[in-house]
Amino acid sequence: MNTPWEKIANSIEFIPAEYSSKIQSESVAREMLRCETAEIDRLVDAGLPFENRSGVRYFDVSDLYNLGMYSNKTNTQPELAFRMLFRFAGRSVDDLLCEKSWDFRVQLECTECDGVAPWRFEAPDVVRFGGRIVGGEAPEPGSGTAEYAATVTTTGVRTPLVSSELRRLTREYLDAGYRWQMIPVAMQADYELVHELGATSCIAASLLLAERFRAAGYEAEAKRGWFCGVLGGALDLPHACVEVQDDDGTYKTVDIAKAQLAARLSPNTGDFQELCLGSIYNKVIPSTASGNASFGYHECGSQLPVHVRADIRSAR
Amino acid sequence: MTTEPMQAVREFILGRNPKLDQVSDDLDLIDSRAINSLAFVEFIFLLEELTGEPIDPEDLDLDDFRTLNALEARFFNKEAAQ
Repeated sequence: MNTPWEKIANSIEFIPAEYSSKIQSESVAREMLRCETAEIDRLVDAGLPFENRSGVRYFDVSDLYNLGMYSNKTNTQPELAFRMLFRFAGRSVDDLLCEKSWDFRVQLECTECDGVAPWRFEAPDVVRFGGRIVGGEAPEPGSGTAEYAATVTTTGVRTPLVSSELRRLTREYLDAGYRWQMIPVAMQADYELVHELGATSCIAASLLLAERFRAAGYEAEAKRGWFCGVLGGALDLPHACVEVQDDDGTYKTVDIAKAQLAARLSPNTGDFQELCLGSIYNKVIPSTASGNASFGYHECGSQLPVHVRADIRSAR
Repeated sequence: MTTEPMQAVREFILGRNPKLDQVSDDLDLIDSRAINSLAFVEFIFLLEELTGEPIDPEDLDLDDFRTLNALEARFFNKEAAQ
């Protein structure tokens, strides 16, 4: 059943101007949403923010993703992408608990580099969760670009939250009705704003939940990482989860947004959703970066953030 | 036997790249952005339809998608690829 675009536009939160980057042309919008110019006109009339440059309308990619994802058209590119992405969540949980190796490669780019300087890369941090890393030399000081490469082996461990208080807080968050949206990383760090809008996302959800865990007296921190097996690296999704010390003294990971997204996108994902609440699974590579921090820095003095592009493939 | 599905693959690529007149067998489809990240998932669904087999997104290797030759070997002519 097609849902009129006006209703969809009214149901999602567009990215506020201060976080919006309108660089996707109207032709991209038509392709992503599988619609015609007249339908883009309707969306613009319904509030879709745009910029007009040289007679061409440009849009924010997150806005387009969210419109497509919640359109119920079934054929928009965001719907197809997430349907493909979350197929795994309906599979046997045992698949997510076995060892899995990844060819992990990250390119760091300092776009307006001021010269040779040390790099800092927030590397994969899997050993304390039972995984291992082969390779992974820290980038040498340099300019412009640097690379980090390793074979990273992840493994799953079933360690559900045991604290009734942590479970209560987690359930309270899940039941609050926040709606998952694609949100720029910088805005996700502004997690109060994200939740005020009734929205949620991996990083924003983890920052808020970690705060609530700490308020309840638990040691907790939102940490960033990489969600693996995402279409050969073709779709770059920000990832974060909460690391919290449970009543049994063990550090658990709470992947709250993935639990929520799986529940929305795919029926029969109950086992996966439960796995997200404390257990480690093999599709995630945790890092040393805290919840709203960048994965990479270059100490050359440039004011622009380092671009970090990950290419993570299942090792063959 | 493999002509028909490869024709569908060509038509998909040409349909999304109006400026292309043709797709040579060795054109790098990824670097040339003939298949960009937006169209990638749609393309995978097309390949599933044409092969009648599911594709596990976890096991994808971009090199399998680089050229028409690579696509044919990987998805439509597996015996020849071995």
